[in-house]
Amino acid sequence: MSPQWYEFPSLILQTASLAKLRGDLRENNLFEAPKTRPKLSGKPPESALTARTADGTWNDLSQPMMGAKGTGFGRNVPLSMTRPDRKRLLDPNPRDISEKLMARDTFKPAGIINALAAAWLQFENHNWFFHGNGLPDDVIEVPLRDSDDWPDRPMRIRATQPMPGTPRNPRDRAPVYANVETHWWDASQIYGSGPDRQDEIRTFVDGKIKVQDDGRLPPSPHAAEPGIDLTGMRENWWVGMGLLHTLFAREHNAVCDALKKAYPSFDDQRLFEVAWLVIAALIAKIHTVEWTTCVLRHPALQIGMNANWYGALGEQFKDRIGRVSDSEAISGIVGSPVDHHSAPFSLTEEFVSVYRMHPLIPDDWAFHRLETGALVETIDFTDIQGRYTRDFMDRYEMGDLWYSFGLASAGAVCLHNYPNALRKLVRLDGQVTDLATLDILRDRERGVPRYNDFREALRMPRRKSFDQLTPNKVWAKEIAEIYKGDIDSVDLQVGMYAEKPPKGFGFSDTAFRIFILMASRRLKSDRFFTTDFRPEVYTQVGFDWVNETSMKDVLLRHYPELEPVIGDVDRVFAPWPELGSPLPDGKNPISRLADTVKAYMPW
Amino acid sequence: MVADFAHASIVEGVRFTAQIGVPNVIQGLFKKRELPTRVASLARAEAQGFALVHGLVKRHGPGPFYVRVATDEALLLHAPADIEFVLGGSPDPFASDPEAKKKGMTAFQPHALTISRGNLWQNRRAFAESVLATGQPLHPLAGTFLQVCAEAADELGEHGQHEGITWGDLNDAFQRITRRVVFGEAAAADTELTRQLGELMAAGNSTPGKPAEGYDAFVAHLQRYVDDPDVDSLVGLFAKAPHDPSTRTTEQVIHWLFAMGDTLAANLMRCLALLSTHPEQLHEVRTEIAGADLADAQQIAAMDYLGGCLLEAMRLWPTTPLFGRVTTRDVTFPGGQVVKEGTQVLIYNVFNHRNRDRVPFADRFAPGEWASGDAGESWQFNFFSHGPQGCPGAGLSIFLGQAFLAHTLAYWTPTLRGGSGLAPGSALPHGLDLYGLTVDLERRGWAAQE
Repeated sequence: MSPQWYEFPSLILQTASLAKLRGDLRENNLFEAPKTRPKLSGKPPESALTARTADGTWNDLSQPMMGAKGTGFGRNVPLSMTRPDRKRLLDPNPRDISEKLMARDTFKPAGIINALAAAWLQFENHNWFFHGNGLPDDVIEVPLRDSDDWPDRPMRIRATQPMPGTPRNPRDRAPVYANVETHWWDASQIYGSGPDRQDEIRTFVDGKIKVQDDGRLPPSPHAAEPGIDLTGMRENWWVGMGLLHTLFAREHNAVCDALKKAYPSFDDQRLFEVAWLVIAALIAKIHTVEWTTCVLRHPALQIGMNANWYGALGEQFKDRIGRVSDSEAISGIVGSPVDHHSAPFSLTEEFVSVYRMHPLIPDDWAFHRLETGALVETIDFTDIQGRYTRDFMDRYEMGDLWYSFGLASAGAVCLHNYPNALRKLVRLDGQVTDLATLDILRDRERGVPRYNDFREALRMPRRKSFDQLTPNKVWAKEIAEIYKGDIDSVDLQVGMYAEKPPKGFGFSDTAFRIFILMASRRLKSDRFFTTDFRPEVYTQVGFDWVNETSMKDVLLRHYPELEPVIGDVDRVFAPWPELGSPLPDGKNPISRLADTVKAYMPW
Repeated sequence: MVADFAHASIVEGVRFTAQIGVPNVIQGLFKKRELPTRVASLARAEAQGFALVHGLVKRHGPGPFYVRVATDEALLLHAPADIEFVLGGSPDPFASDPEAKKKGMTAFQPHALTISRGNLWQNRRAFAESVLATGQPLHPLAGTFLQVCAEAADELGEHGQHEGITWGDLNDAFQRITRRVVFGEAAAADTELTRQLGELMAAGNSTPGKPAEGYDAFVAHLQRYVDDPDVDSLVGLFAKAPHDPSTRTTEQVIHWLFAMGDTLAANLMRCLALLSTHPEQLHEVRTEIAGADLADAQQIAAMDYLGGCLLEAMRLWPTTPLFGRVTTRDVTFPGGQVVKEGTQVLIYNVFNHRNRDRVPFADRFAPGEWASGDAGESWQFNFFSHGPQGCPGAGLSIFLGQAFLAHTLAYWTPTLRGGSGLAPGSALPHGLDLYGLTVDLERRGWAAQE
């Protein structure tokens, strides 16, 4: 087996290797089952030419249902590899894995990223995918040991429902599951997937969305959603979501103000549409050039992710000269021609799997006053989520909450670091869920291959022994025990949490392979990030807004009180300095950051 | 320790004098001379001046600081609060008659309001405000002036369709508008009057400190119109305006003539260049025009976005790059710093208008910032000056510009000839050479004019 990309001796070779990897993945790892999306044809509505649609239709004008809400997830492994092994659905028992391999013993901080970065990923997951809530009477029953203190017997987990109109149990592959959200990177977590939710959040005045006079989102008007803000999504709500959704709702309205000032002829609808385009692109840009480069601090990624957005010629070149080539390698994906590569665009089940990064979430949360830096309380995650969220947020100034999130380290994505609060999560409807059990079970249920098969499908070497899987000898022994010595049985999540990531990485190289394919695909397939990322569609003010705004700008625009803390900070997704403390010194930002990574890696 | 403002170094002062002080003299303080202006523009004088002051502000800000101009130290202001303190305190203790300005202006308007002090200033100010209807939503003669502008726009449109409009064409048209507005129909073709003024202003550039040769003849020329006033012109309003012999009403007109004829025309030329190259803004203007009755002065004056376009031309390329005040006595600033009597206080519009640290839209064409933003409230922008000595003709000037632009853009589509460096996606240049601009006009289809 040839060396892995990060094993090449120079940055140039590593970057070239990554480019080749992505090319191979685009060529060989995009699949979809029949009937993944219904047929729709005809002439696009005029409005869809210059605006996103609430249900994600007509992004691709020749295949209008591509990426739409309610269409199926694709696959990154051949369909023949997705047939669920129903006999081994509960083998080894996922609850055992949760208890013995996942459960957090002590908090292992990631070090390189803060709790804001952890919240950001979930914020984005809500943008991308949701399989739906399932049905109360269609459950998978997980047997429990007698000693287990779980409140019910057995543990019941709702089965994922196949996409309507597709076979429940095809012989040679997994069923097709539909995405309840649009597949596009369209900020649907804020704007809602589908017109009903979108209409709920709009004011229908000057393009704006609903924000209270005090700068907070209004509460959800639905009785079944206590403690939750009115926004585009309604699941998995907690303070981290409250902060980010509030921030970007306010940013949306700020964009509307700027647009209305520049284009007094625009009506409510056009102001809304353009502001939506701008916010979606801004979030995608922040994710690509700020969040990702913070989580994946390998120098090759500092270059690669900026190249995704700006191209190999860099930000300054693009700002001054603009695009000089249709090539995404030279001028970046954004603004290049749209290309779906070897399959129509959809997010994939494997993409969903690799983004199961719940260990990022701490259990214990320290909240401070921004004004004084004083610690007010340390509180369990359970008490800042779900129905408690709004009441908790009302006890603090928003600046206090941001500061506390900025200071706190996210958890390391590794074994024995799964938040215990999420292993006993009480949902709004009263269901109690062990998300660690669920994470394991979902992959098996949906036919996502186990770790070794998954790696092989991505042309990564299989692990032949537990010692090869992880350098941590204790873990290797624990994993071997659970899986009864069968390395090929190891679940994808367990393997990814156990493996040693490349230098500077906040998650595994295995997850990264899906990431490198799909992260660029989310941009490359979307007309509004490629062919139509231009002033004629975004307006000049909107286009400039995307190009000139960073996450720090957004934070300081709405919470200028954060200036003393983050005014001099380069990366807002890295832990912030404590109030009044100097920034660490540094010379070359790429090598400094990559070389001084203090990620907690327990090996 | 007694608080004092920072002092720029001698070397910085030499550079300031060379790059900002001297170019303003070379370019002609009162009437632009074509050749030096072209050269200065090619040499990117404004960009260099901006860069120099930007560096000085970084080093010596955030407060005002002293900079040596030739042999004197002057206090350079750049923060809106300081500018407000000074311009809000004009004409006393901050008089608008620094020596060079006074000497230059004396050549062609020795009794100008702007270089008057004390009671005389109040007397002349009251007269100007009455005739120019300062602060009123609409000038009482707006209907007549609108007609004057509409006719000029028609004539210029026909010309522009065939040959394009140059700065010379537009200035000639506006000199005619100016004569009609100030003196009435009888003066429409009196180009001699304009020529006389041009010569006197050119003489002012050498800051002679006394009226130039030909001044008396020029005033006599003006006096003929004042003595037989056209009721539909500004001189027709003199009788009702407060005045006495010390006002010297006829000589107050001189400032209006060059402010309308030269300055407003320059701003309109640049505004047309901007609209030619910024389709979004042109679309907004057209939308505003489409919803208005162009024969109704009130509706013209209500075209805020169109007015914003003109104000943006004034902000981006201020026709008064640098202006000053002089302290009439020792003045204590709010921070306790004492500025000695006779000190020049300078406001460098070229920098302040484009200061990216304070103006988010610094280098963009952003009419909306005036139409519905708060640019109009900001002391950062001083092309009309501000405070008690703010330009009394600002409202009339904008109205004339709106009337001319509305009637031009309703029927004609402007295109800027050649490469000008003006583009929506990139920072607008600091200098824009008026003499290099030619705007072609194409008649719009009738359907588009509804």
